[in-house]
Amino acid sequence: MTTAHIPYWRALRFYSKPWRERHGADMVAMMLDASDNGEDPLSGHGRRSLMWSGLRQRFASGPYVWFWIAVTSISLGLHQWASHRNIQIRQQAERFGDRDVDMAAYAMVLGSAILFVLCLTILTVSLLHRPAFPRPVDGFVARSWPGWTLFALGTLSWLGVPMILGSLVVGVRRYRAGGGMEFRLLAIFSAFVLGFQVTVLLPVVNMLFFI
Amino acid sequence: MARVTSRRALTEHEYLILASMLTEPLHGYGIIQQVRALSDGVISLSPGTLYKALDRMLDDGWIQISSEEIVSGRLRRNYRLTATGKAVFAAEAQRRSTMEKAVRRIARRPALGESL
Repeated sequence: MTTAHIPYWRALRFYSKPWRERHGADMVAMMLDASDNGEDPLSGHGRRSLMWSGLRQRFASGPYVWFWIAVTSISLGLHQWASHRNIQIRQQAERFGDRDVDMAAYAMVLGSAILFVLCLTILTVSLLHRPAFPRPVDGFVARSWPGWTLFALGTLSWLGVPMILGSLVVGVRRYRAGGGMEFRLLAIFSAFVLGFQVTVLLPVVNMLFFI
Repeated sequence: MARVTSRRALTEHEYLILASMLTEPLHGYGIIQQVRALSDGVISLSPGTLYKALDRMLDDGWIQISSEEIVSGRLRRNYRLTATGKAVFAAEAQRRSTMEKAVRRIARRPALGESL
């Protein structure tokens, strides 16, 4: 690598290491060729394209998926804690005949719900990008009806969070293994229903149950 | 062995990338130039878009690396169409041609108001 190559390699920093090892030298050569022909491959548009393309590829890689799984789990825990704290505050207020609303507790519930939905969305989008490495299995064939059955049961039972979580995992795993569009749809619908159940239905049911 | 099924309709970029390699193997910048020529300068592929498409096509078995050499300290990797890639391209060209004919047929018909 010469000093002329350095800015081009630097522009590829958003890609994961396996990607750079596979395509990096070729991409740098292509950009050097373009530069020799009077073009500017590192213009604003070119840099943005490389950044987004690299980030999309990187977010689909293993470590980032695990990072978002951890963050989503933490945000879910935070939301559950905030919901229960809100219920306890309301119970105490009822006991002492206080009708005032604790805005801080409500803000915490709402904020943690938004955070959870955001994290779940990023996680789902990341999971639904087929990873460049490792490659999906060749000639992958799988039936989607078990996943859809789980999804239907989880949705119809209103609070079937474990079942919806199961259909989400089935959809994501099968799609990333090379399955068709039906698995992608299954994962998207499952994530949507899961977010709705956890942030809307579960707090309402908890409140009805405790108060 | 790569997957050889056409899993989806080709995007405009993928169609032009395949078309650019019809006559001879090309390296990255050669593909960009050829795509630009084929689209009358309308489409200029960015490196991110090109290599994402090439990676998918390699994965699907539509193209393969025909040669690799170092020229002036740069990797010169040439890509060429496989038999599967040619078949996918031919099917897509046929689909586009059929659609184009249908649209032309409709466009030649007099408008409803004029025919009455």
